[in-house]
Amino acid sequence: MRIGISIDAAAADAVAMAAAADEAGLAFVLVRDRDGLAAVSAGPVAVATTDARIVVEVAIGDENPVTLAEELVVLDAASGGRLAALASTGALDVAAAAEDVALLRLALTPRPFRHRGPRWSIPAGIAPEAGETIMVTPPTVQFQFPLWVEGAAAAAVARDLGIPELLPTGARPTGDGPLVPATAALTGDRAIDLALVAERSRSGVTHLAVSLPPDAPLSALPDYVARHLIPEVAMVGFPRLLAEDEVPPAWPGA
Amino acid sequence: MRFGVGLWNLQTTAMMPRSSAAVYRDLVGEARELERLGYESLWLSEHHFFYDGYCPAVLSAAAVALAATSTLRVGTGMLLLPLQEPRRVARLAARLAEHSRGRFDLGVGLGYRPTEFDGKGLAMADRLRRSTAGLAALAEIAEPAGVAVVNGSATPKGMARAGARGQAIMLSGGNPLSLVRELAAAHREGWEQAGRPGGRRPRVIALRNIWLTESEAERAAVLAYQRASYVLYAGLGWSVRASGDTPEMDFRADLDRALAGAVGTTIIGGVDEVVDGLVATAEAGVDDVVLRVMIEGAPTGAVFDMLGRFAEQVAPQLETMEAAA
Repeated sequence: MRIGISIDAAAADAVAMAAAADEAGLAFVLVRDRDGLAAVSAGPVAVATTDARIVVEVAIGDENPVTLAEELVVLDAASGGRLAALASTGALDVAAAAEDVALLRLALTPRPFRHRGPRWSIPAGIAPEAGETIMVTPPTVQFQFPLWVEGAAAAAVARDLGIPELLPTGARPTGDGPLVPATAALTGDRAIDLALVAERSRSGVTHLAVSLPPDAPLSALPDYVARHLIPEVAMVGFPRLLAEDEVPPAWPGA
Repeated sequence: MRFGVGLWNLQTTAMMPRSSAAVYRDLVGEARELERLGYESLWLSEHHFFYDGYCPAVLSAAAVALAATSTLRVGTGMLLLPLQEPRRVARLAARLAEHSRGRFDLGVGLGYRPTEFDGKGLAMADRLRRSTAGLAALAEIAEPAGVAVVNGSATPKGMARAGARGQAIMLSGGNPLSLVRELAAAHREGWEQAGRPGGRRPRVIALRNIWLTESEAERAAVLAYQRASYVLYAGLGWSVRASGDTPEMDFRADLDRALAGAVGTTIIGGVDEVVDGLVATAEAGVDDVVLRVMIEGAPTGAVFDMLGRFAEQVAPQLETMEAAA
């Protein structure tokens, strides 16, 4: 199982935490934005990181999915193809959420498309010179843009569209798809947290976005998450001695 | 007179093919270099569904440039306001201003390509109504958060309305100086007739084609690449309507004539020639100039070498220059 960090975009140390997670080798950074403004809050994370994948929370329902796709392709390019999106269904019912997420997914492919649904008609077919289809540009850097879903309508949307649902804390995976993302809150108690990540891994979760306990220092990312929790689920039967042994003194002159 | 640089369209074109990842990686380095050279601002531009990946989401790109810098202002020239949901775009802009400590300028325009409206499921006929709703949302949400709103328009009426709102304007680089003068005057008049809202005249910013060089070979190259950069507008379908003393500049109807007109706006030469050109620009009513030097195909090294010389030899001479009343 891969472990990433969940950050609150509004927090003062959000970008520093993303950079620290990147440096510590965490697999991904989940950018939470409770105001639905990840279109701009993910940019600084892209600049501050080089290797970690970036999962941005995208609030659907208050903007055209084509516009949301355009923001994502820009952020994908700005991150060198490290972006994924977590579509948050918010207050939309299943039918509305399914249409918006389907249109978003369509707009993230390098393929001319046309969409007709109760909520959106793309292209509108009003301008005489407009074509029958459109294509969002630039295309994503990635072959296939990763799109996850969460929220009240997520389970049905995920099932209908065949995309991963980000499982809330403690929820059991219902399938064995190749990608089963989930979230978990760490306590800071090593025994409890080791048991937590081990259980999540055994349950079939493939990617776990953890949140640090309140007031945890940035050093918890290399010294706790990367040193103890990531190795614990990086193989079956990790010999904990390898993480618990003393680190040698600092290299002379380093 | 203050100086910015633009426009970052973030394209990967037939003439200059490269990865879109490289384009955005370069944006980060170029923003930092611009800041180091002492320029005030960097300006981005927006279009949609175009083959070259012309930046379709300028607020996301602005977030990247702002994150890479600490003193440089970053602006949109322009964000096409009717194409987005008004309150969301206002909240995004407010967040950018808050997180950059007020370094974000939101230039907004109406848009002119019917296919862009159609591609968003919208009727271009609704653009004024949607723009009005957008401006109201910006006034309610973005401006109180420190977002400076800059208006793009090519008509005296549009500029007068911007002045009446107490907002700055940004003029296109392809506008002949006669049109710049007319639009700047309309902006000033609109502000004065509205009772001078804000108490301080809002700025007139002009994008201008400028290149400092004593080399005849570089001069020829710059003008050739300026010309090529305006061929883009034939593809996009841009035009400048006839107004006052300014003839029509239609890139679709008469490409050669329009290209000659746009390239003819270029201020090019040694220090004295460029200073004289900028003095004339200030006399036309312009407060600040954005150098239109990010032209397709021009080597980045040559662009930044020129920007370094301009910052050293030209900008200091014009620090106290004021726009003519």
